[in-house]
Amino acid sequence: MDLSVTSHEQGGRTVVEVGGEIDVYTAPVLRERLNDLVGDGHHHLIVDMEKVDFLDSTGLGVLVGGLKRVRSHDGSLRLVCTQEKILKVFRITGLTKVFPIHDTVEEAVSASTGAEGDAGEG
Amino acid sequence: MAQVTLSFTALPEHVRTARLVAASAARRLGVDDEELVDTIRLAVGEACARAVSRSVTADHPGPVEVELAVEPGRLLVLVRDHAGEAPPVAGDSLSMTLVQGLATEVAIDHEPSGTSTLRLAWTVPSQPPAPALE
Repeated sequence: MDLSVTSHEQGGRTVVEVGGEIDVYTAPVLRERLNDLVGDGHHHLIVDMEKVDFLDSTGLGVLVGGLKRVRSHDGSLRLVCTQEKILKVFRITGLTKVFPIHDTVEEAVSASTGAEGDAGEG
Repeated sequence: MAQVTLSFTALPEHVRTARLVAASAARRLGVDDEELVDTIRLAVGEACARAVSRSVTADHPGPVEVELAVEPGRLLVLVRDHAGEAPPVAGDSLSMTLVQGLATEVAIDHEPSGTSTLRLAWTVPSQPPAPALE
């Protein structure tokens, strides 16, 4: 399988762990999973990219779409990413200014509950 | 003259194959900096995804063609589609922003025949000079 997507609750936030390659072929799967989560009431997402091997502009588009969707529900979307090869993609496109990017899930959860409030997940 | 050529049906599932061929070909053609190989993989992937999206939008089966060649100090990659006058695909500007940030040179040629060629080039280190003989 080129792409894996799993999720779990942590500290009142929904952590979405993505693994493998996010490209023009696999990105629709990630889009659908993010849409399902938001549809089920999970509006504060933390997308953990640490096991992502590849990300292209289609993948970026899905993440931007996810961000817009949660924001329409007063939610939030943060990323966890320390891999330079993935950060490079965000940097070149200027999207480092759009997504909060953290070094660890714990840091992201903590920042999220601090900034967006301790609303908890539905 | 192209040293490695790949041709594939314009479907998203083949873009990964094109990336892997590009990375492998780049190494064989003399790129030994892994970060540059990664950059080339990303750029070729992006260019192929764009060619596939254009073809799908234009309901064109392809093929999409990729040519890799090396000349002194330069690695050249061409990605060609035959989608013709396809309307701009969603995400095209993000894709092109990424490609332009990754490659040393980027150019697009559109031919009246409906063939569109995206040319990418990278400066690659030339051979170090031979040691001087005393």
